[in-house]
Amino acid sequence: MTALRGFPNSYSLRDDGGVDVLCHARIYPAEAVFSATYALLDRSYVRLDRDEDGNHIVELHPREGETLREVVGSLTNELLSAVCRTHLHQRKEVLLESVTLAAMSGAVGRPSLDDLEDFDFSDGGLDDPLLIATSWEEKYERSKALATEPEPESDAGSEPDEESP
Amino acid sequence: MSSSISETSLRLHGDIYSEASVKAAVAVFTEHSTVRMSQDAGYWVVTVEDEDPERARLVAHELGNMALGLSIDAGVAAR
Repeated sequence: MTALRGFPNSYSLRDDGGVDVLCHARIYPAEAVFSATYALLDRSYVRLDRDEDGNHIVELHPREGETLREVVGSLTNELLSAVCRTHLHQRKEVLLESVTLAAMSGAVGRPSLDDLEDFDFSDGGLDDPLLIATSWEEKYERSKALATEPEPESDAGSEPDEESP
Repeated sequence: MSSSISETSLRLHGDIYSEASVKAAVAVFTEHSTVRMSQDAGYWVVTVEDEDPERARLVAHELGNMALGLSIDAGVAAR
């Protein structure tokens, strides 16, 4: 097989005037290969194959009015673009799922009285030692209560308050 | 004077090209040439016969494109 000049070794010229492009599965996932080849169907004749290692082989023949190098260059660009989109999609999938889940849970509707009855309102669910998430009323009541409490004795050996004069 | 028939074969991977897509493409291009479809070792084998070799090659190419497009549209190729 003859390599296509100016392209990597994975591009090889065919005897019938086309070119075979080997797309390694570790670099180009199947979705990227399908997306890239789909975009070129109007400019070239494409046949897809898969070898025993799971790598895809794109057989490309330019349509009339197209040159082989232009079509192969376009395929390379489309492959790169599709791989980037696939990676971005995978990274955003978690975010999309969480947003969709929140939207769907909102669409379920208001909780019923039975749901509210079973709900545990006593669970604070937040450790807030600096009282940042505490309301003004609660904080004020707490600080007032602290102010009225007698200060603890610093002497460890002292007796409780009730015995002091 | 007898005219020779030119034949072009197309091997389409069974995991990439769905049966329904290949059959649909074969049905379309049967109007233009003689098209046969068979199965061999995980491949759909499509044979196009025509008196004009260039026409047989063109029909095979177009048929392959249509089958691939339909397979990707159907999501079969994404398995």
